[in-house]
Amino acid sequence: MTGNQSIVMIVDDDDSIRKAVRRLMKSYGLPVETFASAAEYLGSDRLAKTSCLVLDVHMPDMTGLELQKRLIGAGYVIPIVFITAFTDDNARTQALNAGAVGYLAKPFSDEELLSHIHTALRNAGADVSEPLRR
Amino acid sequence: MTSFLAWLMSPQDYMPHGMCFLWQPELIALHVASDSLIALSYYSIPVALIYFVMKRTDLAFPAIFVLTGLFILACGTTHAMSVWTLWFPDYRVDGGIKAVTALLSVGTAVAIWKVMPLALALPSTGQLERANKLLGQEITQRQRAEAALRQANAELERRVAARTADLQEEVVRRRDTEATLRASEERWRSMFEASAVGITLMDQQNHFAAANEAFQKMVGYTEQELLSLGPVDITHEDDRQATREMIQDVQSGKRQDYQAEKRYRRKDGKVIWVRVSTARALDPNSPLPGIPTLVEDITERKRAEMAWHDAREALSRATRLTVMGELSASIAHEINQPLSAIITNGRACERFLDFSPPDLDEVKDAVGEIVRDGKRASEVLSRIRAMSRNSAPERGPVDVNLAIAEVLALTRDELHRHRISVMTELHSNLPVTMADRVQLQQVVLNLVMNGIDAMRAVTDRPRNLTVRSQLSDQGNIVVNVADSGVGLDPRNRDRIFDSFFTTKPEGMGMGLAISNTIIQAHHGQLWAESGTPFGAVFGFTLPLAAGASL
Repeated sequence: MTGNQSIVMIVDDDDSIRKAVRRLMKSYGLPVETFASAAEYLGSDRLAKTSCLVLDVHMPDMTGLELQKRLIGAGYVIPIVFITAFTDDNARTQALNAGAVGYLAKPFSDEELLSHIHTALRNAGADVSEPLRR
Repeated sequence: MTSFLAWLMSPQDYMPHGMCFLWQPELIALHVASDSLIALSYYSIPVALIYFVMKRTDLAFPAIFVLTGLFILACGTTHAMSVWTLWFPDYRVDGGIKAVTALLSVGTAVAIWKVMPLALALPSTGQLERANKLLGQEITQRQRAEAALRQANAELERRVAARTADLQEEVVRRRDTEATLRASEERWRSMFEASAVGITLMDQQNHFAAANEAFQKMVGYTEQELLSLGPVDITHEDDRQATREMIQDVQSGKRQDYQAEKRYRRKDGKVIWVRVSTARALDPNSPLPGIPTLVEDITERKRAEMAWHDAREALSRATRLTVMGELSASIAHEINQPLSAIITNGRACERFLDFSPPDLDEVKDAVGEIVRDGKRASEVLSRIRAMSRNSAPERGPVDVNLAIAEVLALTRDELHRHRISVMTELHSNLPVTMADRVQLQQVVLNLVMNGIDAMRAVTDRPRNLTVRSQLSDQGNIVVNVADSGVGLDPRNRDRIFDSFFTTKPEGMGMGLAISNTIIQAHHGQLWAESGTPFGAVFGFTLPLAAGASL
């Protein structure tokens, strides 16, 4: 897993959530990169490298759902796990219909998040036979 | 005696006296003429004396005059006898007449000597004249004095008459004044007795000197009982000190009058609210010293006021909680964020601790963040708790900028969710003001929530909310919240502060009405105007010296 390294990208405007999720991924040995907004992520060159996108739903300027739409529109097929502090059934349906792997309400358990990330990575064709736990 | 008289009248044989003159006719004639003239003269003298005595009734010693008259008559008779005896020698009769004359002359001489000292004491004519002159002068002086006296008397009488007239006029005037006074007193007394307002008069020993029936009914004491009581005695324990101070101030002249709302404790122990007005302290030198006071029973009004106050506060609280309810999704989000981070960090810690060796550096970083996020969640909770307060309003020093910042923190997520950019222009040097912080924040929260609602339909322009705090030229704090929403409908402009007026389908119509009440209680003003080029601006002023009670 050198050339085809799976990288988990996190986009969340909340600094605490970003840092915590990054630390959790690190504890599982997953490479991880973080972005504070949709615009920052879109502006980076990491879109093609993304094996799994952990995406916050509610963000100022561009929401997670809008980013999903933009990525689909641009032809990217990136497995997305949404995380949100709001319980909004409409948003959940919209996200899952558009192909999201998961839609988790904060606070979520690490098992839930990991299992969704696992699914996402598998969908992305990553080598998931490699155990996630060290 | 008969024999003496017979002897006297008996015929004698003596020779006439003329024979002694030898009947010489010249000598006879001389004697006859002389004795006749003497006799005639002597006879005229007693007549003159008698006439004199009869005319001068005031004569001193008239007896002397009579005696002298008789004596001279006798003398005259002796001379007449001398003529007689020239031819007829009746010497015995002549001697008898002389004897009578001798007796009379001796008597007269004795009498004259006897009255001599008295006669000498009689004033002489010169003396009498001098005395008369002096008397004349004295009389003149007296007459002059009498004239002056008469004049003075006349003047005095004139004055007395004038004064009497004046006095009569004065008496009439006094009688009129007294009648007027009596009528006035009766009128005042009937007002005093019939008044529905309590009226008392307090003496200088701070006791009631008088109290009308309305007052007696109000406090439940009889007038007799009140005479041994003072205003302080019937005042509620908590209001006594203030009452004492006010009485002192009025008595010492520090204050001309005072008005106060305070509590009395009735004789039966019940507490009543009264409004006390002391018109003016009477002049301490007046015959009726004391402080007159009007007392109205305002218990019912106070009760209504308190009920109204409680109702208003309950409504205000309900409105606040309603807004908080609207914010509940945002608030849940605000708490969920740090909670999620805490749980996630916790799980990561467990995993790093399971490493061999454990990755303690990561654990240490994670724990630091857990603590920070825990604090963040607790701050959100305390903000909510403060805004959900159930206690009575209370004034305290408030930093208006900090109060605004807390409201914006509470609504941060709600604003984000509605994609609203918040800008703040807070005056960097606002003074601290006395206010009820929670109520003030309720107003700001209300204005922010209204701004969010007004921009819900806006899609063709940025959604901007600007919160400003300023200091006016008059030294008042001015806070305003501007949005880029749909703006004010001119038709509704005058009604937006009315209760139950709302333009929102789910609105209650209480937000601005309650906000208005709160700002008015702070002696400020709430207003609304159209924004430029669109939207609306809501603002309020807060006087710095807003020391009013709620």
